[in-house]
Amino acid sequence: MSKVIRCEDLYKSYPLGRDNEVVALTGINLSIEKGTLTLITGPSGSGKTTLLSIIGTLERPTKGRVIINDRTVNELSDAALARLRRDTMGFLFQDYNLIPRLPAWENVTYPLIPLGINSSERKKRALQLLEMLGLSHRYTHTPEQLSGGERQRLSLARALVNDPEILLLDEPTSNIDHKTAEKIMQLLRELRENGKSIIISSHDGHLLSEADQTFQLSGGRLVE
Amino acid sequence: MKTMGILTVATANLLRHRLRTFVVVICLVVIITPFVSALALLEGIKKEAMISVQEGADLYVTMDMYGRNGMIPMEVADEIKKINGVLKAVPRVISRIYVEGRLCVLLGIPLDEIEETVKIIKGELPDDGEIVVGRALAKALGLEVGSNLSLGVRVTAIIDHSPFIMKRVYRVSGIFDTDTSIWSSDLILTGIDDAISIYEMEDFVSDIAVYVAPSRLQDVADTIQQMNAYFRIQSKSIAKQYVKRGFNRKGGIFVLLYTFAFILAIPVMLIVSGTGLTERKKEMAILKATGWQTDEVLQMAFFENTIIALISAPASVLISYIWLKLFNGAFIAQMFIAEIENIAPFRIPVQFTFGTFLMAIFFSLIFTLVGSIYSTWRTATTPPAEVLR
Repeated sequence: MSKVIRCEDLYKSYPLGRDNEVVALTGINLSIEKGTLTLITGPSGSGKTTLLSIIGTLERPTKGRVIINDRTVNELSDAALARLRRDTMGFLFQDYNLIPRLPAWENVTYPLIPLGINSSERKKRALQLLEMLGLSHRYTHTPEQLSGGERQRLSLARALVNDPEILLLDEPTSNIDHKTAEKIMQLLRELRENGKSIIISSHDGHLLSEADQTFQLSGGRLVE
Repeated sequence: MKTMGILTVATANLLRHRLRTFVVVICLVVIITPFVSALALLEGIKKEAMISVQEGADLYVTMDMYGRNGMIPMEVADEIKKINGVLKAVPRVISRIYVEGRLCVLLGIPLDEIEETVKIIKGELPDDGEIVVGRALAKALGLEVGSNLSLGVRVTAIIDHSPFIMKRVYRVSGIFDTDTSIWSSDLILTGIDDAISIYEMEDFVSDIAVYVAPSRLQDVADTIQQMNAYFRIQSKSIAKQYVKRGFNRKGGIFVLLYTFAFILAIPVMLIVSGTGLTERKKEMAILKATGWQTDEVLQMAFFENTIIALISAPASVLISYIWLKLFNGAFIAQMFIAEIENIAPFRIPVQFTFGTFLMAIFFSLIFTLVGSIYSTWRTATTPPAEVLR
């Protein structure tokens, strides 16, 4: 299997005042194969979300390299990174990050706009995904009118709308009931079988059995 | 297709942030409306001035006095009348005069010319020792037909020849309409002899207005010039140029001053456009995280600002139109038309042009862009995770 993502000696720190800094990640080395489900686990504050953000090119590492499909993404321009996200990635954020006061189906379609897809096609794709995730009856509802679980599924629909090669999911099964979590896991299994690479950041122990590989983070370091 | 999609998002954003959109539009309207009103007033006054020039004489003859207009003997008018092609030569006295603390224009012309100059709505044309005044002035000074008005008259003492001003009473024989022109609002019209005596000019007049047959203008001008090298002849086209130049300069100065006012108002605009900025920043970061590029986010912001400008500019023009037409430019006309109170006593001249409308759109757009583009650019170029954190 080919490596879809490689992280080499990754460091990330955030300045805190003039002389201090918070070190979020230290010396991370990992590789993820295409068509696998990878779990990044660890306690709160261990750096899971930071690692996911760096792999997803939402921010740059302080040191080290991230290689996606044999391209070192640290060297890419902001515009190239945006293209990379648009063409190959889908995100599910821990706090959903949905656009408020915008109908559910429109929230799903926004990633398709830069691709130049016409509005009827955008709507069609959005409705298909909402149907698949059991939200079709809520398609005109705004995020404020949805429950936590529904928002999570809506956020997942948006992550899937551009048919990404890599799915980055931050705590995808938190805030939802067991039945819905199982439905989502079934969907993720299908996506994996279709060759998608799925990276999940979670402290949900149930996901361990689903993962092809697991990385445990503690204090910003990988634990063997 | 992509552009249409971004335009749709921009429109949806304005609708989602209704309060912010409303406040920004209101601010723009407040800033742009006086600007549009002033431009419309300037254009209106300019147009009226051009009509006055167009309807006036073909040539104005004065004496050259140090490169400026000097008074000319009245008898020259009779000589000019004899030139082939001259239809009429009217000697005129034009001056500024204070009447009960109010600066007015005194125009003295031959009595038989007065009927062609103004429309008498009350009373009759003046005779010797009589004057006619405009309706606005009559109202301001409480004058009626038959009232007496004292004017300061220059007199030279017989004994020591020292000049002094004495009051002479003139009877108001009629009142003329002032709604037709701003130039006639403070006008006092009298016979040429009375005007000459008021200024003790002894057969000298301010200028001679010459009306010429259409094809003879140049010949007549040349002939007048040959009569006396010190005659100063101004044609209608020169007068038009002066009017245009004067108003363009005024307009230019006004736009410049307003631009400074705009700059001073920018901090206010920044605060207003910053309303709900945290939420806006987050939304832009979401767009960036889901694959939007910086230029696409900026394009969306540009569309938003353009839509706001396209709403604000017509609203400003509409409010300005109501202000100037229905409320006769109350409290603003006085800034552009001298010697009038908060509410003009005559119908103020107003001209809305397509250029005025374009200027309104342009300034609205510049304003909203200046108020928002920097924060948008900053957000669009910041890594999404940093904004979303």
